Amino acid sequence: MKNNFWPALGFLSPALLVILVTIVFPFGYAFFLSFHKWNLKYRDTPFVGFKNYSRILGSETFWEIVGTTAVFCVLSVFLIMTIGYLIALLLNEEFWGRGMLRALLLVPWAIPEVVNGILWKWLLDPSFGILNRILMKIGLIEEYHSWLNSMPSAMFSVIVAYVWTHVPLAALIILAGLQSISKEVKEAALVDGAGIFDRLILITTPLLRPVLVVVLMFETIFALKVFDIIYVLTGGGPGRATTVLGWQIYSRTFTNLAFGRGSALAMLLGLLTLIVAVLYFKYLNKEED
Amino acid sequence: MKKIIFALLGGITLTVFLVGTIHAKGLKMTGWPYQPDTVTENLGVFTAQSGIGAEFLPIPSDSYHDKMVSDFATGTGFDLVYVRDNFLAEWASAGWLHPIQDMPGFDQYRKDLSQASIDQLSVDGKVYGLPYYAGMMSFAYNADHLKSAGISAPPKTWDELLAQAKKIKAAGISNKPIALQLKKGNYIVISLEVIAAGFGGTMFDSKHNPVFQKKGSAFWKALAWTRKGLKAGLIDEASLSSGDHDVVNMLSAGSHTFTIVADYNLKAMNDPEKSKNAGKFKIGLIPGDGNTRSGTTSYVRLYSITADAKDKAAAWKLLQFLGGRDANNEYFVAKKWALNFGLGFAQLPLYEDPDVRSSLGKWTNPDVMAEQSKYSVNRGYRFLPYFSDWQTETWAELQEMLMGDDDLGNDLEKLAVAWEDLKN
Repeated sequence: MKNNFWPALGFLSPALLVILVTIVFPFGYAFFLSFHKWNLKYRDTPFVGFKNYSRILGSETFWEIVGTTAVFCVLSVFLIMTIGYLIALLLNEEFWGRGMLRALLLVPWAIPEVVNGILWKWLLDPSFGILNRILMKIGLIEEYHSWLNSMPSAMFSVIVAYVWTHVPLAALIILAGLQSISKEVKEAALVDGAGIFDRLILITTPLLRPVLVVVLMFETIFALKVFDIIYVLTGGGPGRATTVLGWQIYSRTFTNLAFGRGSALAMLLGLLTLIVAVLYFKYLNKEED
Repeated sequence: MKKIIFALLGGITLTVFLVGTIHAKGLKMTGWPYQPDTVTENLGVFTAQSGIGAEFLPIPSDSYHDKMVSDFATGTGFDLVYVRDNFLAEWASAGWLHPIQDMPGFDQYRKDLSQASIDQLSVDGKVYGLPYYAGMMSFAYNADHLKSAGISAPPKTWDELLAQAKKIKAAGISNKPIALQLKKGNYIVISLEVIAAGFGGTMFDSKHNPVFQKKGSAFWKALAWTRKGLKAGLIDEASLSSGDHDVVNMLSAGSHTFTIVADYNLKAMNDPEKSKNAGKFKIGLIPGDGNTRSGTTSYVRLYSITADAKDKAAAWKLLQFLGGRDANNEYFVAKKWALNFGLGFAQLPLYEDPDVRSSLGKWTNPDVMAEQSKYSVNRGYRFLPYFSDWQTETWAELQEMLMGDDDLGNDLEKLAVAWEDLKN
């Protein structure tokens, strides 16, 4: 058999080059920077070994930010999965206007994150935001509230804005999974007398498990590395109330210009994301015996 | 036919390239986008007077410092840049700015600027630019709100300010009468520095050692007062995400009564084309604490020539046009900023200009401004190269302190330690 290695490499080389330039090199360079004291304002960039990492891991502020990231991630993913699943179940049924609703569902997802953030910033504005107006009209609040400048409303506001834009994708993927479940299975369950909740918990959800795990994993990764919505809505504030790892990496790298420490933070976030992904696959996606 | 088409394409490409090259030969200037049309207009006048082309390519204010540092680090294409006091020392000590004290004709400006102004343009005895504008922070209030609440005069002390705010709130005139610039960034530090000046002190002593962390210091009192106002609902929580444009808009909309802003902002607040409540805003002395009558901070923003500027002589001509005298030996640009936008100035001859004196009286009180300037505190620590680095660490911490209930001592001590670390 002819040796196909070199022709294969030739055909693969454009793709490999793209991967090298856009993934391997930036990752490798960031990894390299993370072992140096590298600040754009200073000429010296000494090798400091693991000092950046030890300084980060030994900092109270870092663990506070990890906690904030965890809160954001858990609440967002829970809401995205729950609401996404419910919407998928709804759209899986036949009813008038289903097609239009499916199309409308895509609108929040199609809006760029930054535009989404600006939209919510206007809705939540303390002086003229429509949310304050509505809540005051129906008597839920006595005076206009500054949603983005106090806690816990700042965190909840960011979560709501984030979930709003991520639910459609989750719903569509879960809907695709639902539509791949054979109708015979559902009919058999009906014949056996299974009620609506029994069918959901005992039939539909187990069959949908692989899809749910994939959606859960992706949404967790997206939530762990969130940045855009925080940048636009709160800037990590008030104080550090909505400072998540993604924001801290930006702040350390581009505000403090400490590229070494920013890269170390990015590596730690990457490691955290990898651990989460591995755990999900190991414990949530195992085949039933 | 093919040859003709290729020749035409080649000709067009060459023309575009040449036009681009010629266009690129003029001076390039950058800064934050305050009235960019006026800046471009001014550069047109410069070109007409000198025959040297110049263009203004602004960078958004909030990201100006960060973008420029990246630009400097990779070799900037700009010839002239705007510089603020809080990063002048950082940029000068990094070797990114060109000193001008030895440029031909500089000595005439020594006579036209006060020593205090020259100090604010200098690092380690070298002068790095000419003034763009100068000013100080001022106390602005809606006089109609005070009148409606039965208050006859603006507050003299910080406690009186809270009491007046409480009265205005109780009268239903404003829900949250005080709006401050407490947004993360230079804003929160400046605001607290001003309030501390009103409490009779600064963050650092004359040898640039931190004193803010000492219990009962002026800065400690400033934090405590601001925290008290926020918790009482008298200072709007929205202040935590408000900068100067935001508080100007809040007061102009009539929803708030008191603020602390740069002096020139009163022109916009009293401009009928920009403010719903034009004519109602007055300037008062920044409150004191009873022992100190008042306090404020003043500043000079400057134009600087970059170290990378290829034609320093041309750049110096542009610098003189913008911050000094034009070809007609007049402070053309500084006077235009003062007359059209109320920007303050450091050039002493302008104080005698009848047009300038007359213009100031239309939107502010020159006597109060003159009185306020006497209470300006020295902030020499801002001209240390590590001040900018230290300052970025304080933003989130200061907001946390304002929102929290913990004793201020521990958190302020951490900031003092951070200062010493950077110093060493």
